[in-house]
Amino acid sequence: MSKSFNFSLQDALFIGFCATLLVALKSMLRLKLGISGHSMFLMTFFYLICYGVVGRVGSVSACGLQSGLVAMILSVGKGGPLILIKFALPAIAMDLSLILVAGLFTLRWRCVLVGLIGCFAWATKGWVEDLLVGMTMQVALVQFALSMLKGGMFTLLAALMVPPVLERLKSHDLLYKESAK
Amino acid sequence: MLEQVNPHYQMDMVCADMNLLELNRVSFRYHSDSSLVLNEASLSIRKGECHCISGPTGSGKSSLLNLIVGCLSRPFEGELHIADGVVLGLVMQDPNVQFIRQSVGAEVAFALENLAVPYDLMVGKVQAALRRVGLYVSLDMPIEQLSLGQKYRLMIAAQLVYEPDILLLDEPWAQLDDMGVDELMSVLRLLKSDNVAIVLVEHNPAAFSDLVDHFWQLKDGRVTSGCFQLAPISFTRPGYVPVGKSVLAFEPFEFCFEDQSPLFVCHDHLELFEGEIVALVGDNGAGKSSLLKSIAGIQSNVRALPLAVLGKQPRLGIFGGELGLLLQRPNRQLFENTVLEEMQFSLKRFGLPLENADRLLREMGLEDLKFHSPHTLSYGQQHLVALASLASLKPKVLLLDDPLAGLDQAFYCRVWQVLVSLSQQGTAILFSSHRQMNHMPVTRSWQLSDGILQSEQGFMDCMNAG
Repeated sequence: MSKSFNFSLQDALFIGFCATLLVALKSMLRLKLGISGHSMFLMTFFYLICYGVVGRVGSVSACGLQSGLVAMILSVGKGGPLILIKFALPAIAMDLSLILVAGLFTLRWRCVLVGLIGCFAWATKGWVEDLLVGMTMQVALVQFALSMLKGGMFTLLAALMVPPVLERLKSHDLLYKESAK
Repeated sequence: MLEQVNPHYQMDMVCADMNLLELNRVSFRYHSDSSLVLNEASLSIRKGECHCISGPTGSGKSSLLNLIVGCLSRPFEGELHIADGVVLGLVMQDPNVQFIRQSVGAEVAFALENLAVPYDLMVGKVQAALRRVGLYVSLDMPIEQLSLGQKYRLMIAAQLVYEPDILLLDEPWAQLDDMGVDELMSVLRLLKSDNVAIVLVEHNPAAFSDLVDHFWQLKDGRVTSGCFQLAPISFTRPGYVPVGKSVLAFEPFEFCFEDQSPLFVCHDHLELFEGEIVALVGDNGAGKSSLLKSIAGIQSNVRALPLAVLGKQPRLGIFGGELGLLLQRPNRQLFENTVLEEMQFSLKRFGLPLENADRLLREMGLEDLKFHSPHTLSYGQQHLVALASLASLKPKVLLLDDPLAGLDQAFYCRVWQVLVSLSQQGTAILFSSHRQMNHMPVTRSWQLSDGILQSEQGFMDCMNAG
């Protein structure tokens, strides 16, 4: 895994760019939609773009950790220092799932599947939090299901946007190496 | 562009008679599934030599220059030796992509700043470089106010200022007017006598024949000795051009940007009729592009003109598919993922048959590029695709800003065939050029020189009068 994080300068810059833009957009937009799960939209989108462009194991985790650190330092979002987990956990889950599904399915379905796995990790984090604050298992599970449903919708939307964006980047010759297919 | 030599490139010590640069059986392709752009290309350049590389549009000439200066991040096979300490300068076909700063002086001084030249010396060096290329403008002038030809000169000045050992120029003839080419020639002669090596990529090598020591042609990825040439073009002008309806009419006017003195004046009543092909001829910076944009209604900072296009005062978006404008920088109007999608975009928008796209691509010999991204094509190919997508709409008025730049003779010929065909179907065509089009099927010229725009009595007037 340590070798996986040995990115080239271009890769590292792109990961940093995605992480910064993710946090910047999140902090600037300050969407108060009243719908839980909308944060999964930006997260899924930037993580999957990172995977599509860099195309290496560890790129999504690196992006998640970086955005979590930036968000923690700048106090973006709710959660205090635990915001790091909010950003990093879905990213690590997505990276691990990519080890299994890297060569399977078309890019679109792979993005959807990997995105939903990230959403599952995000919802799981909420479920554990609910249990820790003393919620009963039954209520916590209902909350988990609701989070999965709402977050899943945003995840689906973002994952479906990724292949056309990658296609556009490729047509502009902005992908500097063979990207994920 | 001040280029640092890529560490992957092998360095040699410079000796008086040694090569400054040597390509040895270099092969290159953009993607693993695409054909070879360079196929075992070999070339060596010594001090004071001038090399000219010609070849068909899209044959890889610009890619070769980019590879030499290390702009291509993709790997290549073969060897590229650049002698130790050799400084390379490159002026790309579209100089806009190279600008870093906002003003003329800052742009030329950029390389000097990087070389830690003392500020006191900078101004003199910058002014001398600008004078060498015949660009007499204020150092504070914003670059965006320069014409494309002036920008090309500026970029040459930005290279000359740090005294490169090898100067690479991508199609200067297409971007410069005749005076600009003469001035460039004298600069290049001087550089050559100072032992600077020059590499030109050019569709018109004859223009630089006095200067060039070695002519090369790049075809099918191979660099061989000689000039790439096709059979000479011959066109027959239409014998009689019926004067159709007027589609564009100017009353006498002064053309000036807001809060500025007039750029040029027109004392005559000018009209463009259906089926006409009119050339708007003027030097770099005369105002041709701004006039065309004003006619299309997209030039915002110009004083209102007494102008009617298709009976209306031009405004952005009011003409729909009836008016087409080809910009001088075609990449500004290409946005789809493939050439075919690009062609079909406007056809879908205006409810026209999608088969027009295939037909036009066939007519213009662009079928091979159908599924290619328009953004990765060469400058000339982008011009062709943008023109084809406009021509497929068969607009009533077609405005073309320097449509022939970057084209080899074969495509030059095909473009003219398409334009003649459109004019025969009633399209009025106004295109700009910095050279006279006497041998082309142009019905009339509008001359823009010495700040005056006037219509020249063309053969059409004589024919119709007769």
